[in-house]
Amino acid sequence: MIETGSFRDPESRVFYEDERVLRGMSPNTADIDRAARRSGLMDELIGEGWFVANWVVEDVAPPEGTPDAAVIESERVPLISYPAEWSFAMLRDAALVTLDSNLAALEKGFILKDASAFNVVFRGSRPTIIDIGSIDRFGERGIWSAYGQFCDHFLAPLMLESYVGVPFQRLLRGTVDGIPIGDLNRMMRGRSGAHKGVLTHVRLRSLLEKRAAGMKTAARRDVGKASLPVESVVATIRKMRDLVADLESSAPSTWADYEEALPYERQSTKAKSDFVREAASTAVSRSVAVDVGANAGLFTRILAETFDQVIGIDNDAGAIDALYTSTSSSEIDNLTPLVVDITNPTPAFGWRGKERAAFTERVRPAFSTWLAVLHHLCLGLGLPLEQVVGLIYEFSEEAAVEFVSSADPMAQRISASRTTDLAPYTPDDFESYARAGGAIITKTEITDTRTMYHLRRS
Amino acid sequence: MIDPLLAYLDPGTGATLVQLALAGTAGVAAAAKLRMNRLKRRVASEDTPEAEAEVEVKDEQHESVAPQE
Repeated sequence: MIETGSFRDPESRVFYEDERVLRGMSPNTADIDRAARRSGLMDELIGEGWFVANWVVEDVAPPEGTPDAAVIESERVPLISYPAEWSFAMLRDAALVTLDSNLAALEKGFILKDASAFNVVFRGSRPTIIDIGSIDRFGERGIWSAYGQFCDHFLAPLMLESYVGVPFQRLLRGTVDGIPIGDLNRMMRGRSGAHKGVLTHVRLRSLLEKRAAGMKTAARRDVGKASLPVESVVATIRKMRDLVADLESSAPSTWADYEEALPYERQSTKAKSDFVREAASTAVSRSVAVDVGANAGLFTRILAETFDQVIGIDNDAGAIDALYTSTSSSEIDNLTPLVVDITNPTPAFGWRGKERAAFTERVRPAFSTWLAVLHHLCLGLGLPLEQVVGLIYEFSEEAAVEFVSSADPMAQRISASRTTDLAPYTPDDFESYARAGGAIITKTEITDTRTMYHLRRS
Repeated sequence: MIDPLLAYLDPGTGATLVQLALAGTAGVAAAAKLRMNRLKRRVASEDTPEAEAEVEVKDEQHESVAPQE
Protein backbone atom coordinates (compact mmCIF):
# COMPACT_ATOMS: atom_id res chain seq x y z
CA MET A 1 0.00 0.00 0.00
CA ILE A 2 1.43 3.41 -0.99
CA GLU A 3 1.30 6.17 1.66
CA THR A 4 -1.25 8.81 0.58
CA GLY A 5 0.90 11.67 1.91
CA SER A 6 3.99 10.54 -0.02
CA PHE A 7 3.70 11.94 -3.53
CA ARG A 8 5.47 15.29 -3.45
CA ASP A 9 8.90 13.78 -3.98
CA PRO A 10 8.82 11.56 -7.11
CA GLU A 11 12.35 10.36 -6.28
CA SER A 12 11.35 8.62 -3.10
CA ARG A 13 8.02 7.14 -2.11
CA VAL A 14 6.78 5.52 1.08
CA PHE A 15 4.79 2.28 1.04
CA TYR A 16 3.74 -0.29 3.60
CA GLU A 17 3.96 -4.05 3.58
CA ASP A 18 2.23 -5.64 6.55
CA GLU A 19 3.66 -3.72 9.50
CA ARG A 20 6.80 -2.64 7.68
CA VAL A 21 7.47 0.98 6.65
CA LEU A 22 9.40 1.05 3.37
CA ARG A 23 10.64 3.61 0.91
CA GLY A 24 11.39 3.05 -2.76
CA MET A 25 14.10 5.29 -4.23
CA SER A 26 14.91 6.45 -7.76
CA PRO A 27 18.42 5.64 -9.11
CA ASN A 28 19.58 9.20 -8.31
CA THR A 29 18.23 9.24 -4.74
CA ALA A 30 19.53 5.71 -4.17
CA ASP A 31 23.01 6.91 -5.21
CA ILE A 32 22.88 9.82 -2.79
CA ASP A 33 21.55 7.52 -0.06
CA ARG A 34 24.46 5.11 -0.55
CA ALA A 35 26.95 7.98 -0.41
CA ALA A 36 25.32 9.36 2.76
CA ARG A 37 25.61 5.95 4.42
CA ARG A 38 29.24 5.50 3.30
CA SER A 39 30.16 8.94 4.67
CA GLY A 40 28.87 7.98 8.12
CA LEU A 41 26.22 10.73 7.98
CA MET A 42 23.22 8.41 8.25
CA ASP A 43 24.71 6.64 11.30
CA GLU A 44 25.39 10.01 12.91
CA LEU A 45 21.86 11.29 12.28
CA ILE A 46 20.32 8.07 13.64
CA GLY A 47 22.76 7.96 16.56
CA GLU A 48 21.83 11.49 17.63
CA GLY A 49 18.17 10.52 17.48
CA TRP A 50 17.54 13.20 14.83
CA PHE A 51 16.60 10.66 12.15
CA VAL A 52 14.40 7.62 12.55
CA ALA A 53 16.37 4.35 12.47
CA ASN A 54 16.51 3.03 8.89
CA TRP A 55 18.39 0.47 6.86
CA VAL A 56 18.71 -0.88 3.33
CA VAL A 57 16.66 -4.00 2.57
CA GLU A 58 16.86 -6.33 -0.40
CA ASP A 59 13.95 -8.70 0.18
CA VAL A 60 11.17 -6.31 -0.86
CA ALA A 61 9.93 -5.38 -4.32
CA PRO A 62 8.16 -1.99 -4.32
CA PRO A 63 4.60 -1.83 -5.69
CA GLU A 64 3.89 -0.81 -9.30
CA GLY A 65 4.70 2.83 -9.99
CA THR A 66 7.11 3.21 -7.08
CA PRO A 67 10.81 3.92 -7.75
CA ASP A 68 12.80 0.75 -7.07
CA ALA A 69 16.53 1.44 -7.38
CA ALA A 70 16.83 0.92 -3.62
CA VAL A 71 14.44 0.06 -0.81
CA ILE A 72 14.95 1.46 2.69
CA GLU A 73 13.07 0.19 5.71
CA SER A 74 12.39 2.49 8.66
CA GLU A 75 11.56 1.84 12.25
CA ARG A 76 7.81 2.22 12.64
CA VAL A 77 6.97 5.34 14.65
CA PRO A 78 4.04 4.65 16.95
CA LEU A 79 2.38 8.05 16.55
CA ILE A 80 2.17 10.54 13.71
CA SER A 81 1.36 14.04 14.95
CA TYR A 82 1.13 17.35 13.10
CA PRO A 83 2.61 20.80 13.82
CA ALA A 84 -0.85 22.22 14.63
CA GLU A 85 -0.94 19.70 17.50
CA TRP A 86 2.43 20.70 18.96
CA SER A 87 3.13 23.20 21.68
CA PHE A 88 5.61 26.04 21.23
CA ALA A 89 8.60 24.16 22.66
CA MET A 90 7.73 21.12 20.52
CA LEU A 91 7.73 23.15 17.29
CA ARG A 92 10.95 24.86 18.38
CA ASP A 93 12.66 21.52 19.12
CA ALA A 94 11.46 20.13 15.79
CA ALA A 95 12.99 23.21 14.12
CA LEU A 96 16.29 22.70 15.96
CA VAL A 97 16.47 19.03 14.95
CA THR A 98 15.94 20.12 11.34
CA LEU A 99 18.74 22.70 11.56
CA ASP A 100 21.14 20.42 13.45
CA SER A 101 20.62 17.68 10.86
CA ASN A 102 21.43 20.20 8.12
CA LEU A 103 24.63 21.29 9.87
CA ALA A 104 25.72 17.67 10.36
CA ALA A 105 24.92 16.95 6.72
CA LEU A 106 26.85 19.99 5.43
CA GLU A 107 29.95 18.83 7.27
CA LYS A 108 29.92 15.72 5.12
CA GLY A 109 28.96 17.39 1.83
CA PHE A 110 25.18 16.91 2.05
CA ILE A 111 22.10 18.99 2.91
CA LEU A 112 18.38 18.35 3.44
CA LYS A 113 16.39 19.45 0.40
CA ASP A 114 13.17 19.80 2.45
CA ALA A 115 12.39 21.48 5.74
CA SER A 116 8.74 20.54 6.10
CA ALA A 117 7.48 20.35 9.68
CA PHE A 118 5.50 17.29 8.54
CA ASN A 119 8.84 15.49 8.16
CA VAL A 120 9.19 15.55 11.93
CA VAL A 121 7.32 13.30 14.36
CA PHE A 122 7.60 12.84 18.10
CA ARG A 123 8.75 9.52 19.51
CA GLY A 124 7.67 9.99 23.10
CA SER A 125 8.81 13.56 23.64
CA ARG A 126 11.69 13.48 21.17
CA PRO A 127 11.45 15.07 17.72
CA THR A 128 12.69 12.82 14.92
CA ILE A 129 12.88 13.32 11.16
CA ILE A 130 11.21 10.54 9.18
CA ASP A 131 11.90 11.77 5.65
CA ILE A 132 15.08 9.86 4.85
CA GLY A 133 14.73 10.78 1.18
CA SER A 134 15.33 14.46 1.88
CA ILE A 135 19.12 14.06 2.04
CA ASP A 136 20.75 15.65 -1.00
CA ARG A 137 24.30 16.33 -2.18
CA PHE A 138 25.76 19.77 -1.51
CA GLY A 139 29.47 19.78 -2.29
CA GLU A 140 31.55 22.98 -2.20
CA ARG A 141 28.90 25.43 -3.37
CA GLY A 142 25.13 25.45 -3.34
CA ILE A 143 22.09 27.02 -1.78
CA TRP A 144 19.87 26.12 1.19
CA SER A 145 16.91 25.41 -1.08
CA ALA A 146 14.66 24.64 1.92
CA TYR A 147 15.24 28.05 3.51
CA GLY A 148 11.83 29.44 2.47
CA GLN A 149 10.03 26.29 3.56
CA PHE A 150 11.84 26.31 6.90
CA CYS A 151 10.69 29.88 7.52
CA ASP A 152 7.06 29.19 6.58
CA HIS A 153 6.82 25.93 8.55
CA PHE A 154 8.87 26.78 11.63
CA LEU A 155 10.15 30.32 11.94
CA ALA A 156 6.90 32.14 11.04
CA PRO A 157 4.65 30.33 13.57
CA LEU A 158 7.34 30.56 16.28
CA MET A 159 7.87 34.28 15.67
CA LEU A 160 4.13 34.89 15.69
CA GLU A 161 3.68 33.26 19.10
CA SER A 162 6.88 34.72 20.50
CA TYR A 163 6.72 38.28 19.18
CA VAL A 164 2.98 38.84 18.84
CA GLY A 165 1.69 36.46 21.54
CA VAL A 166 -0.73 34.66 19.20
CA PRO A 167 -0.71 30.84 19.55
CA PHE A 168 0.09 29.24 16.20
CA GLN A 169 -1.91 26.01 16.52
CA ARG A 170 -5.19 27.33 15.10
CA LEU A 171 -3.37 29.00 12.21
CA LEU A 172 -1.47 25.86 11.26
CA ARG A 173 -4.60 23.72 11.28
CA GLY A 174 -5.57 22.65 7.84
CA THR A 175 -2.46 24.05 6.15
CA VAL A 176 0.27 21.90 4.66
CA ASP A 177 2.57 24.84 3.90
CA GLY A 178 2.91 26.72 7.18
CA ILE A 179 2.27 30.45 7.42
CA PRO A 180 3.00 32.51 4.27
CA ILE A 181 5.65 35.08 5.10
CA GLY A 182 3.58 37.90 3.58
CA ASP A 183 0.78 37.12 6.05
CA LEU A 184 3.22 37.20 8.93
CA ASN A 185 4.63 40.49 7.67
CA ARG A 186 1.16 42.07 7.79
CA MET A 187 0.45 40.56 11.22
CA MET A 188 3.68 42.04 12.53
CA ARG A 189 3.15 45.64 11.61
CA GLY A 190 4.39 48.20 14.08
CA ARG A 191 6.53 47.50 17.10
CA SER A 192 6.63 43.72 16.84
CA GLY A 193 8.70 44.26 13.70
CA ALA A 194 11.65 45.47 15.77
CA HIS A 195 12.41 41.99 17.12
CA LYS A 196 15.43 39.90 16.16
CA GLY A 197 15.27 38.34 12.72
CA VAL A 198 12.14 40.14 11.54
CA LEU A 199 13.93 42.66 9.36
CA THR A 200 15.60 39.99 7.23
CA HIS A 201 13.44 36.86 7.38
CA VAL A 202 10.08 38.65 7.31
CA ARG A 203 10.38 42.19 5.93
CA LEU A 204 13.20 41.66 3.45
CA ARG A 205 11.82 38.34 2.26
CA SER A 206 8.33 39.75 1.73
CA LEU A 207 9.85 42.59 -0.24
CA LEU A 208 12.09 40.33 -2.33
CA GLU A 209 9.24 37.93 -3.04
CA LYS A 210 7.20 40.81 -4.40
CA ARG A 211 10.20 41.96 -6.44
CA ALA A 212 10.81 38.43 -7.72
CA ALA A 213 7.23 38.29 -8.97
CA GLY A 214 8.00 41.18 -11.32
CA MET A 215 11.22 39.65 -12.62
CA LYS A 216 11.53 38.23 -16.13
CA THR A 217 11.70 34.44 -16.44
CA ALA A 218 15.32 34.59 -17.63
CA ALA A 219 16.34 36.68 -14.62
CA ARG A 220 14.56 34.27 -12.34
CA ARG A 221 16.42 31.38 -13.92
CA ASP A 222 19.68 33.19 -13.18
CA VAL A 223 18.69 33.50 -9.52
CA GLY A 224 17.85 29.81 -9.59
CA LYS A 225 21.44 29.07 -10.65
CA ALA A 226 22.99 31.18 -7.88
CA SER A 227 25.14 29.40 -5.36
CA LEU A 228 27.08 30.22 -2.24
CA PRO A 229 30.18 28.63 -0.74
CA VAL A 230 29.43 25.97 1.87
CA GLU A 231 30.82 28.18 4.68
CA SER A 232 28.27 30.84 3.89
CA VAL A 233 25.35 28.39 3.98
CA VAL A 234 26.64 26.94 7.26
CA ALA A 235 26.83 30.47 8.69
CA THR A 236 23.25 31.22 7.62
CA ILE A 237 21.95 28.00 9.23
CA ARG A 238 23.96 28.59 12.43
CA LYS A 239 22.53 32.09 12.74
CA MET A 240 19.06 30.68 12.15
CA ARG A 241 19.69 28.14 14.91
CA ASP A 242 20.67 30.90 17.36
CA LEU A 243 17.57 32.87 16.42
CA VAL A 244 15.19 29.92 16.84
CA ALA A 245 16.78 28.68 20.09
CA ASP A 246 16.20 32.08 21.73
CA LEU A 247 12.49 32.29 20.91
CA GLU A 248 10.08 31.94 23.85
CA SER A 249 6.31 31.81 23.82
CA SER A 250 4.49 34.92 24.99
CA ALA A 251 0.98 33.54 24.48
CA PRO A 252 -1.25 33.60 27.56
CA SER A 253 -2.09 30.28 29.21
CA THR A 254 -4.75 29.63 31.82
CA TRP A 255 -3.61 26.31 33.16
CA ALA A 256 -1.17 27.49 35.84
CA ASP A 257 -3.75 29.78 37.44
CA TYR A 258 -6.32 27.07 37.09
CA GLU A 259 -4.37 24.51 39.14
CA GLU A 260 -3.80 27.10 41.84
CA ALA A 261 -7.47 27.97 41.98
CA LEU A 262 -8.52 24.46 42.91
CA PRO A 263 -7.23 23.54 46.35
CA TYR A 264 -10.14 21.16 46.96
CA GLU A 265 -9.15 19.21 43.85
CA ARG A 266 -5.92 18.28 45.56
CA GLN A 267 -7.66 16.35 48.34
CA SER A 268 -9.16 13.98 45.81
CA THR A 269 -5.98 13.62 43.77
CA LYS A 270 -4.70 10.62 45.73
CA ALA A 271 -8.00 8.75 45.47
CA LYS A 272 -8.18 9.53 41.73
CA SER A 273 -4.60 8.40 41.16
CA ASP A 274 -5.26 5.12 42.93
CA PHE A 275 -8.38 4.54 40.88
CA VAL A 276 -6.62 5.26 37.56
CA ARG A 277 -3.71 2.96 38.49
CA GLU A 278 -6.09 0.15 39.36
CA ALA A 279 -8.24 0.59 36.25
CA ALA A 280 -5.13 0.74 34.04
CA SER A 281 -3.70 -2.43 35.58
CA THR A 282 -6.90 -4.34 34.78
CA ALA A 283 -7.21 -3.01 31.22
CA VAL A 284 -7.63 -5.68 28.55
CA SER A 285 -5.01 -4.12 26.23
CA ARG A 286 -1.93 -2.19 27.32
CA SER A 287 -1.08 -0.72 23.93
CA VAL A 288 -2.14 2.93 23.67
CA ALA A 289 -3.80 5.18 26.25
CA VAL A 290 -4.97 8.78 25.91
CA ASP A 291 -5.45 11.19 28.81
CA VAL A 292 -8.20 13.56 27.66
CA GLY A 293 -7.85 16.96 29.32
CA ALA A 294 -4.33 16.11 30.47
CA ASN A 295 -3.59 19.56 31.91
CA ALA A 296 -0.15 19.39 33.57
CA GLY A 297 -0.07 15.62 33.05
CA LEU A 298 -0.36 14.14 36.54
CA PHE A 299 -2.55 11.27 35.33
CA THR A 300 -0.82 11.04 31.96
CA ARG A 301 2.35 10.06 33.81
CA ILE A 302 0.44 7.44 35.80
CA LEU A 303 -0.82 5.91 32.53
CA ALA A 304 2.76 5.91 31.22
CA GLU A 305 3.66 3.43 33.98
CA THR A 306 1.34 0.83 32.47
CA PHE A 307 0.77 1.47 28.76
CA ASP A 308 3.26 1.08 25.91
CA GLN A 309 2.40 4.48 24.58
CA VAL A 310 0.55 7.37 26.17
CA ILE A 311 -0.74 10.59 24.66
CA GLY A 312 -1.86 13.49 26.83
CA ILE A 313 -4.18 15.88 25.02
CA ASP A 314 -5.45 19.27 26.13
CA ASN A 315 -6.72 22.33 24.30
CA ASP A 316 -4.52 24.56 26.48
CA ALA A 317 -1.21 24.87 24.64
CA GLY A 318 0.46 26.27 27.77
CA ALA A 319 -0.38 23.15 29.79
CA ILE A 320 0.87 20.89 26.99
CA ASP A 321 4.05 22.95 26.72
CA ALA A 322 4.75 22.49 30.44
CA LEU A 323 4.04 18.75 30.18
CA TYR A 324 6.32 18.45 27.14
CA THR A 325 9.17 20.36 28.78
CA SER A 326 9.02 18.29 31.97
CA THR A 327 8.71 15.00 30.04
CA SER A 328 11.47 15.64 27.51
CA SER A 329 13.94 16.26 30.32
CA SER A 330 12.85 13.09 32.18
CA GLU A 331 13.41 9.37 31.69
CA ILE A 332 9.85 8.85 30.42
CA ASP A 333 10.10 7.83 26.77
CA ASN A 334 6.54 6.76 25.95
CA LEU A 335 4.58 9.95 26.62
CA THR A 336 3.64 12.44 23.90
CA PRO A 337 1.69 15.57 24.84
CA LEU A 338 -0.45 17.11 22.09
CA VAL A 339 -2.56 20.24 21.77
CA VAL A 340 -5.89 18.72 20.76
CA ASP A 341 -9.40 19.84 21.65
CA ILE A 342 -11.51 16.70 22.08
CA THR A 343 -14.62 18.66 21.06
CA ASN A 344 -12.93 19.61 17.78
CA PRO A 345 -10.08 17.18 16.97
CA THR A 346 -7.81 17.74 13.94
CA PRO A 347 -9.67 16.75 10.76
CA ALA A 348 -8.12 15.16 7.66
CA PHE A 349 -6.69 17.76 5.26
CA GLY A 350 -4.29 18.39 2.39
CA TRP A 351 -4.34 16.99 -1.13
CA ARG A 352 -7.70 15.37 -1.91
CA GLY A 353 -8.55 15.88 1.74
CA LYS A 354 -6.51 12.77 2.54
CA GLU A 355 -2.86 13.79 2.58
CA ARG A 356 -2.95 14.24 6.37
CA ALA A 357 -5.17 11.97 8.45
CA ALA A 358 -7.68 13.01 11.10
CA PHE A 359 -6.57 12.77 14.74
CA THR A 360 -9.17 10.07 15.39
CA GLU A 361 -7.73 8.01 12.51
CA ARG A 362 -4.16 8.28 13.78
CA VAL A 363 -4.94 7.73 17.44
CA ARG A 364 -7.06 4.73 18.37
CA PRO A 365 -6.48 4.15 22.06
CA ALA A 366 -7.34 0.99 23.97
CA PHE A 367 -7.83 3.04 27.10
CA SER A 368 -8.62 6.66 27.90
CA THR A 369 -9.08 8.81 30.96
CA TRP A 370 -11.63 11.63 31.28
CA LEU A 371 -10.84 13.25 34.61
CA ALA A 372 -12.53 16.53 35.52
CA VAL A 373 -13.64 16.80 31.89
CA LEU A 374 -17.34 15.86 31.69
CA HIS A 375 -18.64 18.87 33.61
CA HIS A 376 -16.66 21.16 31.32
CA LEU A 377 -18.21 19.52 28.26
CA CYS A 378 -21.76 19.24 29.58
CA LEU A 379 -22.17 22.19 31.92
CA GLY A 380 -19.60 24.52 30.36
CA LEU A 381 -20.11 23.88 26.65
CA GLY A 382 -23.66 22.54 26.82
CA LEU A 383 -22.96 19.20 25.12
CA PRO A 384 -25.56 16.50 25.88
CA LEU A 385 -24.31 13.94 28.42
CA GLU A 386 -25.60 11.05 26.31
CA GLN A 387 -23.45 12.19 23.38
CA VAL A 388 -20.41 12.66 25.58
CA VAL A 389 -20.72 9.07 26.87
CA GLY A 390 -21.16 8.01 23.23
CA LEU A 391 -17.91 9.78 22.35
CA ILE A 392 -16.05 8.03 25.18
CA TYR A 393 -17.10 4.59 23.85
CA GLU A 394 -16.38 5.60 20.26
CA PHE A 395 -12.91 6.84 21.19
CA SER A 396 -11.62 3.88 23.19
CA GLU A 397 -12.45 0.36 24.28
CA GLU A 398 -12.09 1.22 27.97
CA ALA A 399 -12.11 4.41 30.00
CA ALA A 400 -11.67 5.79 33.48
CA VAL A 401 -14.21 8.59 33.83
CA GLU A 402 -14.79 11.09 36.61
CA PHE A 403 -18.36 12.24 36.95
CA VAL A 404 -18.64 15.62 38.66
CA SER A 405 -22.20 16.34 39.77
CA SER A 406 -23.76 19.76 39.27
CA ALA A 407 -23.58 20.45 43.04
CA ASP A 408 -19.75 20.44 42.91
CA PRO A 409 -18.17 23.90 43.51
CA MET A 410 -16.26 23.75 40.21
CA ALA A 411 -19.37 22.64 38.33
CA GLN A 412 -21.25 25.52 39.91
CA ARG A 413 -18.57 27.93 38.82
CA ILE A 414 -18.59 26.63 35.25
CA SER A 415 -22.37 26.79 34.90
CA ALA A 416 -22.86 30.04 36.86
CA SER A 417 -23.63 32.12 33.79
CA ARG A 418 -25.89 29.49 32.20
CA THR A 419 -29.56 30.28 32.12
CA THR A 420 -30.81 27.22 30.26
CA ASP A 421 -31.51 23.90 31.96
CA LEU A 422 -28.87 21.34 31.03
CA ALA A 423 -30.63 18.24 32.35
CA PRO A 424 -30.27 15.33 32.13
CA TYR A 425 -27.04 15.55 34.11
CA THR A 426 -27.19 13.36 37.23
CA PRO A 427 -25.11 10.35 38.31
CA ASP A 428 -28.13 8.16 37.47
CA ASP A 429 -28.32 9.59 33.95
CA PHE A 430 -24.60 8.98 33.51
CA GLU A 431 -24.86 5.38 34.70
CA SER A 432 -27.78 4.58 32.47
CA TYR A 433 -25.96 5.95 29.39
CA ALA A 434 -22.80 4.10 30.45
CA ARG A 435 -24.72 0.81 30.69
CA ALA A 436 -26.40 1.40 27.34
CA GLY A 437 -23.05 1.39 25.50
CA GLY A 438 -21.03 -0.94 27.71
CA ALA A 439 -20.44 -2.01 31.27
CA ILE A 440 -19.43 -0.29 34.51
CA ILE A 441 -16.52 -2.43 35.74
CA THR A 442 -15.86 -0.52 38.96
CA LYS A 443 -17.18 2.60 40.63
CA THR A 444 -15.65 4.61 43.50
CA GLU A 445 -17.00 7.72 45.20
CA ILE A 446 -14.08 10.01 45.94
CA THR A 447 -16.04 12.97 47.35
CA ASP A 448 -19.77 13.55 47.74
CA THR A 449 -19.88 15.30 44.36
CA ARG A 450 -17.29 13.26 42.45
CA THR A 451 -17.40 9.61 41.39
CA MET A 452 -14.94 7.54 39.38
CA TYR A 453 -16.03 4.90 36.87
CA HIS A 454 -14.14 2.26 34.93
CA LEU A 455 -16.13 1.68 31.72
CA ARG A 456 -15.72 -1.03 29.09
CA ARG A 457 -17.38 -0.95 25.68
CA SER A 458 -19.69 -3.88 24.91
CA MET B 1 2.17 46.43 -11.24
CA ILE B 2 3.11 43.10 -9.73
CA ASP B 3 0.87 40.17 -10.42
CA PRO B 4 0.22 38.44 -7.08
CA LEU B 5 -0.33 35.18 -8.97
CA LEU B 6 3.33 35.21 -10.00
CA ALA B 7 4.42 35.48 -6.40
CA TYR B 8 2.32 32.43 -5.73
CA LEU B 9 3.76 30.57 -8.71
CA ASP B 10 7.34 31.22 -7.82
CA PRO B 11 8.03 31.54 -4.12
CA GLY B 12 11.56 30.15 -4.49
CA THR B 13 13.19 33.13 -6.17
CA GLY B 14 12.43 35.55 -3.33
CA ALA B 15 13.72 33.10 -0.74
CA THR B 16 16.93 32.57 -2.72
CA LEU B 17 17.43 36.33 -3.00
CA VAL B 18 17.16 36.64 0.81
CA GLN B 19 19.89 34.05 1.22
CA LEU B 20 22.13 35.85 -1.23
CA ALA B 21 21.44 39.09 0.62
CA LEU B 22 22.19 37.44 4.00
CA ALA B 23 25.44 36.08 2.63
CA GLY B 24 26.03 39.50 1.10
CA THR B 25 25.96 41.19 4.50
CA ALA B 26 28.72 38.88 5.64
CA GLY B 27 30.48 39.60 2.34
CA VAL B 28 30.21 43.35 2.82
CA ALA B 29 31.75 43.06 6.29
CA ALA B 30 34.60 40.98 4.91
CA ALA B 31 35.06 43.40 2.04
CA ALA B 32 35.12 46.37 4.38
CA LYS B 33 37.92 44.73 6.34
CA LEU B 34 39.78 44.05 3.12
CA ARG B 35 39.36 47.65 2.05
CA MET B 36 40.79 48.88 5.35
CA ASN B 37 43.87 46.72 4.89
CA ARG B 38 44.32 48.03 1.36
CA LEU B 39 43.92 51.59 2.54
CA LYS B 40 46.64 51.03 5.11
CA ARG B 41 48.88 49.62 2.40
CA ARG B 42 48.11 52.56 0.14
CA VAL B 43 48.96 55.02 2.85
CA ALA B 44 52.22 53.16 3.35
CA SER B 45 53.17 52.87 -0.35
CA GLU B 46 51.32 55.85 -1.90
CA ASP B 47 50.20 53.43 -4.60
CA THR B 48 46.56 53.62 -5.76
CA PRO B 49 45.70 51.36 -8.67
CA GLU B 50 42.20 52.13 -10.01
CA ALA B 51 41.43 48.62 -11.21
CA GLU B 52 41.66 47.08 -7.75
CA ALA B 53 38.51 48.81 -6.51
CA GLU B 54 36.51 47.33 -9.37
CA VAL B 55 37.60 43.78 -8.62
CA GLU B 56 36.67 44.35 -5.04
CA VAL B 57 33.05 45.17 -5.91
CA LYS B 58 32.88 42.08 -8.07
CA ASP B 59 34.24 40.03 -5.19
CA GLU B 60 31.65 41.43 -2.88
CA GLN B 61 28.82 40.31 -5.09
CA HIS B 62 29.99 36.90 -6.09
CA GLU B 63 32.81 35.45 -4.11
CA SER B 64 34.01 37.10 -0.97
CA VAL B 65 31.71 35.46 1.50
CA ALA B 66 33.29 34.65 4.80
CA PRO B 67 31.78 32.48 7.52
CA GLN B 68 30.37 34.59 10.30
CA GLU B 69 31.60 32.48 13.17
